[in-house]
Amino acid sequence: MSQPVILYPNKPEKVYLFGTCLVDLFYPEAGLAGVDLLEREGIEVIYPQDQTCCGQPAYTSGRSDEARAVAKTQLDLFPEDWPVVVPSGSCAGMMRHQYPKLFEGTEDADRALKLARRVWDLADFLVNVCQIQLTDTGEPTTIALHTSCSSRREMGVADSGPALLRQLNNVTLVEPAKVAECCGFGGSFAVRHADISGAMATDKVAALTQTGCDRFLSTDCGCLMNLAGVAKKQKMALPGEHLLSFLWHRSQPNREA
Amino acid sequence: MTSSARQTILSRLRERTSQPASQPPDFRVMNTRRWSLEDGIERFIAQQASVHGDVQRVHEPDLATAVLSRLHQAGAHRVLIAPSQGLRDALVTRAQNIDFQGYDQKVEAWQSELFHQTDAAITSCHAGLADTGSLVVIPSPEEPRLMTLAPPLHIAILPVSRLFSSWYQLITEEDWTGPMPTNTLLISGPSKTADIEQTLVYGAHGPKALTVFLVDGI
Amino acid sequence: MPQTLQQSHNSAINFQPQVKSALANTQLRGNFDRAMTGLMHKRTMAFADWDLEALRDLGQAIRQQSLRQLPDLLEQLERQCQANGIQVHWARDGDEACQVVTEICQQRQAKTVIKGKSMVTEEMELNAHLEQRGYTVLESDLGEYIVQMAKETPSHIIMPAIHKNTAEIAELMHTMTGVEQREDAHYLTDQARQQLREKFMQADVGISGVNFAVADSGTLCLVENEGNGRLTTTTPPCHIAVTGIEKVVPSLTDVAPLLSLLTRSATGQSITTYVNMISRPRQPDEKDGPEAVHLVLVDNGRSDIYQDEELAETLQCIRCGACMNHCPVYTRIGGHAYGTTYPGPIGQVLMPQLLGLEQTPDFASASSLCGSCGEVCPVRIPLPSLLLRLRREAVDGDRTRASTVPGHGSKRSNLESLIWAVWRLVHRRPGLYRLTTRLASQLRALSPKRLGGWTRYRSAPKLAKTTLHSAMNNRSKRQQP
Repeated sequence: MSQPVILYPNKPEKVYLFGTCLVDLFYPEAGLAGVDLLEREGIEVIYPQDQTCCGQPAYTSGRSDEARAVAKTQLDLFPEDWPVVVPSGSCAGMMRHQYPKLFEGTEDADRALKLARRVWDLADFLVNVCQIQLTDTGEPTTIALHTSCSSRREMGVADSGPALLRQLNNVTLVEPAKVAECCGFGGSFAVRHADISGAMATDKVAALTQTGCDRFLSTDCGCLMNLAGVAKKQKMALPGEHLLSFLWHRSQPNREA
Repeated sequence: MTSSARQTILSRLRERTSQPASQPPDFRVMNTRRWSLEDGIERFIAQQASVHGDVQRVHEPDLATAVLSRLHQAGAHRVLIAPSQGLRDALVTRAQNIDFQGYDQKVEAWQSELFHQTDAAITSCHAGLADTGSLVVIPSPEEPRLMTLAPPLHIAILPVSRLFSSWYQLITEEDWTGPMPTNTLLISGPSKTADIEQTLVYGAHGPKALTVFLVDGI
Repeated sequence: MPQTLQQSHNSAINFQPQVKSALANTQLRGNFDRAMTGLMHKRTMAFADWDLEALRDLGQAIRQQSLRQLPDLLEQLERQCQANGIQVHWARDGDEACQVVTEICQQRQAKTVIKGKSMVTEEMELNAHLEQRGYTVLESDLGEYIVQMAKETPSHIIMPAIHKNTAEIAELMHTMTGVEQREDAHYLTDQARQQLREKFMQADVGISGVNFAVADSGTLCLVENEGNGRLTTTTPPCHIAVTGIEKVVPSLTDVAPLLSLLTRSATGQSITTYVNMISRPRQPDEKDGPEAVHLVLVDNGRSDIYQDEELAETLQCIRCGACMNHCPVYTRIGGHAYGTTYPGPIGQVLMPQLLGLEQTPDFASASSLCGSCGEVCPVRIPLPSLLLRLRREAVDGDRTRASTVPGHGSKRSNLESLIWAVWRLVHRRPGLYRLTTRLASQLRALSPKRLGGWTRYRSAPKLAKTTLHSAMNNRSKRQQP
């Protein structure tokens, strides 16, 4: 079956934020930027303190039993019928597209399906639900964007990153060669098949560098950690940042004050 | 061995009890590939050209002249043509230095000559397909399979009236279900290969050139 | 019980060292990178004027419908072929299929065999089998001819010699056949044409694969560009077509859309030079073509795959190779690193089912699950989902589902089980999770600088000073004084 058309909800008063474990530990500022952007759009953000991990690391390692056990505890955290926004394409993809499969045939199948239907990629949510309008307050800069494979292919929201960046007048968006190719992260793949993953990441960093961008952005912390790690190890001047952090910093009206 | 193998395989396949749900095939997308006659002719010519095939559109009275000119251009001396091919007499009377002959004996009797000493073959076509620029060729006792394969030049005669939009249109309109001829071919351009570093080379194992005469008025 | 098949040339067990040497070979990586980049572009162009998603829906529906009726269609195919004068044979595995072919060759007192490209005969290692019994076997597809001369196996299912560049082929052909060593694809192709023309005429038996077997007419469809497939199936007095049992479709009407998908997905061509539909041997009034045509239907593990509804989607494959052309892993390591007949994503899904997970221990995990393969598959085989399924099977990771793959559980290790048990413990107890993560951030100066394979190519990631949990907690306290 071909990809169904995505039906977006009306802009709600409240949303839940599922922060994801990588944002929690490594990029909390990206999560906070997402909250700031949503609040500026007049949406109240609820962050359930009992959230941990969507279960993806175990799930993609074939450990469905463990993934299900952890995912099951997340099912309880979003009781109201508000959207659940996620600042990462792969975790959003896990909850939206994999939870129904993970829980299929179990007593939680129905709950999982109901939750899955209201999970959104945060950047996509800003574009298509909030219909956000950004005003650029930053200096001219050149940016390359790496959209994660989950955002692109699993969630089908590859257009949202560019749509947001194009609203920023002083940002020149450049596209690396083989823009749709994977950066080589892939969770445990990067450790189990370190050499293949390393080759892919090295090629992606080279492609990003060749654009002459001042920095690269990503919609996923896994990709960001992977590519920034390679750039740093190779001592290349290629700073990386989460898309949401960048958007928030660029669009604050009085950031110099 | 093979009969018990047959039984083992079939009964193993029939062991599957569940039948996965699936959508019935919806063929509508195939019917979007339709062209008007003039657009179809244009597409046929362009598609053949894209695979190194050469299409010449001629009126029936000019066909023999055009074919002869192509044969002369290729320097052909020995040319295969079926005795029943309507064009044959006109060609024979007008070309003194070309030996026209039929594929009239079993291949075993003259295989080496066929492969090494035949310069061209002229054949009819069952149909042409605009979508892919293909010829539909059905070999027959008078126009056997190797005619369109062994000689370096293949000349095909295709009446404009036999041009279809696509293979799917032809199959459905002529109802190609049930028994088929011994051999049926779709031919699109001369033989080719890109097996050496993706460099496209024409004339791999079959013809090196294909010329289609698209004939009005037959 | 599904039986694990033995494959002597299978070296999937050595995947890791094979990957290392492939990655270190810059020549090879360049060859694959250029070729795959070109093929991806050509495919995109070839579908530009199609409603591709509707066509893929159709392709998927046809293959699924065909598989649903598989046993009936096979019987119908057999009946129709026999009515047409084609002799039909069945083989449970590769060895049995090799024996069937050998017996036909014996009956015909054949000495030389010429072959068109066929992946199923690679799978059953037919060439080695026939050569051991004294037959001369010659591959006639140019790529296969080159690979055979080099005593290698194909590195791609559509372009067998894609791993070699022109210079390497020129040297090989010079050494093996004495032609001039010229780096000129036109010259080399012409030399091969001349060398093979003689062989076609001398061969006693021609062996080919089948792209689609049509049940209602008993027709074997072969798709090719070079004309070697037509010569193989026309010139020798005996033609043996070998096919996997999954290749059958109800009628030629079904072949049309599948053909549109196959050639465009494979090489970006709107059609190949030849689509060769063979329905019977030479008739009394006909002057060429084989006097005998045989069809060998090979199971070789397919009926086992067929038992599992999810895994049976593997059998939808029409062997276009688009999944490997678009795979970032295949592009970097090439086909030989996999060490099996079928490389790339379809190989990673198919081979563990044929050979057993213990024989292919790295196949399911050697993917970033980027989804490119699934995105381009013309018949919508959910390759990433199937890779995940095989990962679960390998570690016995889903106790709620039945398992069917040979070698099930062979990758389950006690150490990993322990790690996942701890992970599960921490992530199921929010208080413990918050405590652990807060502690980790506070002790971030102590975090390791080396993390196995990760830091071979990257600097170690740095934990943030504070977790999002803490930050959000402080934020809500600020907002509600």
